[in-house]
Parts: sequence; C-alpha cells; structure tokens
Amino acid sequence: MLMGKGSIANPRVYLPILILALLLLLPFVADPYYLNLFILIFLYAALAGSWNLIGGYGGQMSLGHAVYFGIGAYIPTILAIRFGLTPWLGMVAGIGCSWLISIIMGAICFRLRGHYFAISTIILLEVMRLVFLREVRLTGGGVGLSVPYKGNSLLFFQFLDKTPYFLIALVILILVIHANYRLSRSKTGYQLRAVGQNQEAAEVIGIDSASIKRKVLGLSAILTSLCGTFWVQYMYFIDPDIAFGLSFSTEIALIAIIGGMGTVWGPVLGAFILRPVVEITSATLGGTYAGIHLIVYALILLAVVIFKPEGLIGLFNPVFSRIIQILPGGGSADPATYLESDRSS
Amino acid sequence: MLMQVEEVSVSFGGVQALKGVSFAAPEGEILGIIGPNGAGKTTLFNIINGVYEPDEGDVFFAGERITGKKPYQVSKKGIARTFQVAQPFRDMSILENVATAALSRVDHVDEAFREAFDVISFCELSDKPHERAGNLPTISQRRLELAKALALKPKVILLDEIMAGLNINECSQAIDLVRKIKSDGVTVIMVEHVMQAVMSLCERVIVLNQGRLIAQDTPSAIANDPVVVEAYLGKGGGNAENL
Amino acid sequence: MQDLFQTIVNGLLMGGIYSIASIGLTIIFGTIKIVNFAHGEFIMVGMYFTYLTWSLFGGLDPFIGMAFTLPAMFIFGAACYLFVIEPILMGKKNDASLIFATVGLSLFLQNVALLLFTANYRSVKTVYTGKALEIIGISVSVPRLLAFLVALVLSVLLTLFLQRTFIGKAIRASAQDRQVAMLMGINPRKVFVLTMGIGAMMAGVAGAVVMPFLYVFPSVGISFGLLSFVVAIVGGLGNLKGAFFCGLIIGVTEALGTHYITADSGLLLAFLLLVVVLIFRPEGLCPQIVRKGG
Repeated sequence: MLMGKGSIANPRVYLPILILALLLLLPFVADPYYLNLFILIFLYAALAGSWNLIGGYGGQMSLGHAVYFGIGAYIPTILAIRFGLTPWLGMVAGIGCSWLISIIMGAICFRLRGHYFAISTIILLEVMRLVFLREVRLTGGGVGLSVPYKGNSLLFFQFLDKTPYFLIALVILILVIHANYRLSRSKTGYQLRAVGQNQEAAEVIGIDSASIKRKVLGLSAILTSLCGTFWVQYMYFIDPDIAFGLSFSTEIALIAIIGGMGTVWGPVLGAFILRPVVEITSATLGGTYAGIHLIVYALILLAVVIFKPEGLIGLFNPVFSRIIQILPGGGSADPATYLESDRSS
Repeated sequence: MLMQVEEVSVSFGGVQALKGVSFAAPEGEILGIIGPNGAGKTTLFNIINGVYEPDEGDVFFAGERITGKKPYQVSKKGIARTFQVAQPFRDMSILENVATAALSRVDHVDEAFREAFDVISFCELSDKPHERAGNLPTISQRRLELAKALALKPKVILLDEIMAGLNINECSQAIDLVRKIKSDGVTVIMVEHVMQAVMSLCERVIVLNQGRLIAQDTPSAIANDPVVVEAYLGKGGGNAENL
Repeated sequence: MQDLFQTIVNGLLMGGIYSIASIGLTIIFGTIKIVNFAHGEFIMVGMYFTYLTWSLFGGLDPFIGMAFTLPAMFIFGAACYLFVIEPILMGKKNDASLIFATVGLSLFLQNVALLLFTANYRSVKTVYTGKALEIIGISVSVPRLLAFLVALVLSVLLTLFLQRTFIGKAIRASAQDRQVAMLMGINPRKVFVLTMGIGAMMAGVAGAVVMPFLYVFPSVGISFGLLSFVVAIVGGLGNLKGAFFCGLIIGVTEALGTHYITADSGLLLAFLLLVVVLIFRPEGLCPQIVRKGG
C-alpha cells in the first residue's frame, strides 16, 4: 500500500530522520579523529551547499566564493580581539558584512557572464586577499589572527570537547540543506534556474534577473559567512591564505559540481565522498607523495565533468530509488504528479 | 490604439537598422510585418520588447511610454514575445518551462503549475509534460516558445516567424492556433515570411525594407503594391516564390 | 624623475612578458571560445620544461633550449585539447563543464609538478643572470631585456603567422565565424588542436624567457595566470594587439604600484585596474568587434 508523501511511514520521511538519529549517536561512540572528520565533512557540505544556491541552481560560476567565508572568519575574530565581543554577535556582524559585500560583488560581477563572471570573482577574491595581507594593523597581515583563548565557553563559542562543534556543524548543514530544499521548490528557485539557463529568455518572460541573482547571492553569502565563523572558532586561527585562498574557494564549487550541482543532496554527497578520499589518500600516500590526494581530486573532477556532468548523484539516484522501494512503506514508485519537480532523490 | 511605434530609428556599428518607423496596432487586431531579409523586422521586435533601445523615437503601449524599458518590465506590462530560434530552458521540463513563465503573474508554485498545464493543453504539448525541453524536436520547441508567451496572459503577443520551416499541415495547425489566440482577445503582431499565413490571418500588414516602412495596408492591397513587389524582387534574392 | 623612468622601464620590460604570457590565453579564447583556467599552469609547465632542458643538457641556455621546449609545449597543448577539452565540447556543453575541466587540469598539473619536482624553488643560471646594462643612466637588467626582446619578436612572428599563412588565416576565420569557416572547408577540429598547441607554445615562450631571472615552483602559475587573465580581459579577450598593449600597461601599473606604494600594491593596483575596466567597459579596452544583427 502506498503511503502518503508526508506521512511518517514513508521512507522518504523516516530515512533522513533515522540517519539524523544515527549521526547524533556518533559523538557518544566515535573517537575525536572521526568526530573531526565528520565535522569537516559537515562544514564542506555546508559550504558546497551554500555555493550551490547561486552556483548550482543559478548557474553562476562564482569561483571566488571564499570571500564570504573569509569575512565570516575575520570579522568576529577582529571584534573579539579588539572589543572582547562574543563570536555569536560577531557572527551576526560577519553576516551583515558578507551580505553587503555580496551586493557590491554582484553589482560588479553580474554584469558579466559565463567565463568572464568566473574570472571577475577570482580577481575580486585575490584583491580581498591582498588587502587583508596589507592591512596588518587591522587584520594581522600575513601572520594571521588567533582567536582569544577562552577555554570551555559557550558564550565565546569555544569548547574543549569536539561534541558541541559536531552538533553546531550539523545544525549549520541542516540549515543549508533546508535552504536548498526550499529554493528548489519556490518561485524564486524556478526563476533563478531560468536565469541560469537562458538569461535573455528569462527576462522576456518577466523575470528581473538582476534582482533574483542579487537575492540568492545574498542568501548564499550569508550561509557561507556562517561557515567561516564556525571555521575560525573551531580552528582558532585565520590568515589571508586560509580565508581567501584560491584553491579552497575553487574546492567549494568543485564539491558541489562533483556531487551534482543544482540538486539538494548533490553537494552533501560530494562532501561525503571527497572529504574521506582526501583524508585517506593524504594519510596513506601523502607522506611519501606530496600532493597526490589533490591529483586524485583533479582526476575525479575531470572524470565527472567529462563523463557525468550532472554529478555523482546521477549514479546514486537509481540506487536510492531502489532502496526506498525495498524499505517498508516504500511500495512502488510515487505516482508522478505534475507537482513533482525535484530531480534529486 | 493599443500599441504605437513612433519614428523609431536605430543603428548598430554604422549600419542603420531602422529609420523613422511608425505604425499603430489597435486592440484585437492581427497585424503582419513582412519584408525581405535584413529589413529590420526582428530588430523592430527587439526594440518594442526592450532588448535594444532606439536611438530615436518611442514606443507606446496602452497610452504609456515604454521606450527603453527593460525586457522584464515590458513583459510585465503585458507584451509577450517569441524568438525566431526557440529559447527554451533546456534543463527544465516542458511543464516547468511554462510554469516559470506563469510565475511572473502568480505567486504560488502549485497554481502556476496548474495554469501551465492548461496552457500546454491549449498548445497541444500535453502528452509528455515532463520531457526535458532541450530534447524536444524543433516543432515542439516552437510550441513551447508559444506556450511560455501565452502563460503570461499577455495583451499583445509578438510572434517572430513561427511558420518558418513548417510543412503544409503544421502551418495550417499553427494558423488555427493563432486564430484561437486572437479569439481569446490577444492582439497579435507577427513577423512572417510565409505568405499563406499572412494572407489568411492578418487584417493589416506593414512592409519594411532596409529599415524603412514602405507600405501599410490590407494583405491583398499589399500583394498588388508595386513598391512592395519591387522591394522583394528588385533585391535579386529573397522570397519571390512566396508571393 | 630618474626614478620614474627607471620604474617605467622596469614595468615595460615585465609588461612585455605579461603580454606574451597572455597571448596564448587570448588566442585560445578567440578561437575555441573557452577560457583556459589552467593557463598559468601552462606557463609553469613551460618553465619546468626549460629547467629540464637546462639541467639535462649541461646548462643549455633557455633561449636555445626553446628549440626543445616549444615543440614539447605544442604537443602538450594539443594533448590537453584532445583529452580534456574536446570530450566536453562534443558532449553536453555548459559553462560549468568547460570551466571546471580547465580548473581540474590546473589542479592536476600543479600537483603533478609538486610530485615530480617537490615544492623547492628552482632556477637556471646563465651567463647573463644578474647582469645589467647602463643606458642613459637607467639600469636595465639583461635577462629581462632579453626576455622582452624575445617576447616581442615572437609576438610579431605570431601576428605574421596569423595574417600571412593559410593556417593562420584559418584560425582567424574560425575565430570570427566558425560556421562560415566550416562551410569554406576549414576543419574546426584541426584548427582547435592547432590553436591550443600554439597557445600552449606561447605560454612556453613566456615560461622559457623568465627562467633566467625568476624561480619556478609548482604554484608559480597562480599569479602568472591571474595576471594573464587581467591582461587578456583588459585588452579584450580574443584581441591580440589589445593583449600586447595591455600587457605593457599592466606591467607599468604594477611597477609603479610596487615602487611608489608598497611591495604587494603592484599586483593589487593591476587588479583594481581590471575591476574599474570591468565596471565601466566590460568588453575590455579593445574588444573583438561584436556585430549585432538586424
């Protein structure tokens, strides 16, 4: 018997809940090494998912997205050092700044398309990096900034144990996934996708492309900024190369693309596959062969781009569908109503 | 007059594409725009639609000056347009394409999809609504182009050579479709090369040649106008066989 | 005043090198219509090839070594086209795929270089390394001057090649209108392979001429690449003359910034110049002619 889409007995509903429950058990059973791995997976998935809003759905290849990450990392730290401000409030300030910068960046970069757009985002990222490198008094320059040590303090977003970080990272990831989910089903989402696929045609059917891009970039910037704040609180340190690094900035987009851009779960899948790959290859081979994990990364990217441009999620979808059918309550495939529009699992 | 074009001139890189073009279209009319290749017909649409801004002249719609407004603003005023080469959103389904257009008028996604379904039926695209637009054959992409425009429930629809390359049957179906559109109260302005369509559909025809408007009359008067005939035949190439 | 002239001369010399560095990028974009995000890495590969010929052949001068380096770079470029670019151009084309193919290539090349050569800085020593000439009171670094002259000569040769030879014209025709070129019997695949080969070769030239005075290391391509983008875009992607002159402009801008402000300001100034150009004239200072239809 077919269960209703929203009912708890439907695997599409209870499976994520089950997985979430399992994840919540992790801190009690896993050792810090694995907790750290998961925290990084969550964070990269959140970063890729935030990028995915404007890059995946909107098709705007922002390779300089790390700008918002860096701002989200630096602003709370600077405010904590100078004014003793709690990073929670600093995070809000960081979000505000990132949002403002996204408006400026959008105004400059969105006038360009395709490759030009991508390049302009890279250049602006570099400008940001150089500016932060120069302004030693404000940002500590190349030496970077360390978060003032507060031991175990919820007020100052610092914990001695990994578990709180794990939970916060998970919350951020859920927030990002939710944003993707809402966007994919909303009016803005459809209009954004249209703009990404054919801006002229979108304009002709009444879509204000500039406004849509600006709005979604803003949201993306805010979420990315959140991740930046988390990073600096978790790692206790930030410098211009970490904050505004070109390879890192590209990696955010890469993860979404390899996983499957423009889908809700693609970026998550990308992070869950790539992060462990990076960890394993650098752990086993990295000592003897420097850079080999990035070669593996590059080869995966090239393989996906050439053979499976829609991302690895294209490989996993049939598997997931099968699993859902087998699970109790799944029955045969959901009838395709004309409201069914999400193309991911 | 629903739409008025006044003394519109525009040039690109030294080439005068349109010079002093003026005409008016009353509500409910089917107006044809014909002329040899390169006459400026599509440019005229691009100006009305907001893709280009004219160097001189104005476009008025329902009494309001819309010259220089951006395409999305023009669309919101009630003017829809199809492109000569169909421009579907390739990675979205037929239904999603049309629903996205409908979303310019309604806010709820469900409602947009419902309306889209109706429009798709009207345009006879309803057997495979979830087909990816990029995979469709050209004919279907044309229908989709039309469906997207109709989903806007426009007051005026600008059709750019929708008959191009259609066989007799398809042409006749398209003609019926345009008649249905008109009977729904939409004003149609169509650029066409296929004279059969122009003759059977249009109540009035304007003729462009080398950026200038050289004639404005009923289809039969135009067909016998020596100035018009010369514009086509005199150029040495073009569509003599269509006359 | 002396100071200013010295700075400008230094800037021009380096600018000539930026020009040749970006010419490859410009040609590739003009013809194949893709931006090669691995262009900086192509230059890095050219530098390493030069280093290899120098160390394997007992101190062979880089300029003479170009006899080996350039053909190698051509083949390398052609291979990149055939194995990476072509599969994507033939398949589902979208912005993301093309961009990330070359991004992937860039990542791959950087890390293979890391694997093969380690992160150590390497350089070549020639008879003129570190030497300088005095010309009307201005000190001109010999290796840089040589680099500039070679770059200039090769740019001219390239321009002549594109204008006078059949292949060159075929490339230019394909750049202007691919479909018409095909109708005239020009095989686009051959043209693309050639273009990529030539683009890589020019990157190789840039790599070869700078070895006498710069170090090579796996990530040297990043800043070179960025500067090439700046030059190519400001000059108008696809416009060779534009690329050349803008290279000089960027070189001088960078030199002025570095000298009169602070050490990293040069680069920053160059980027800000790009930003300004992008805001006011996104098509670049001397773009390809874009014809709008009627």
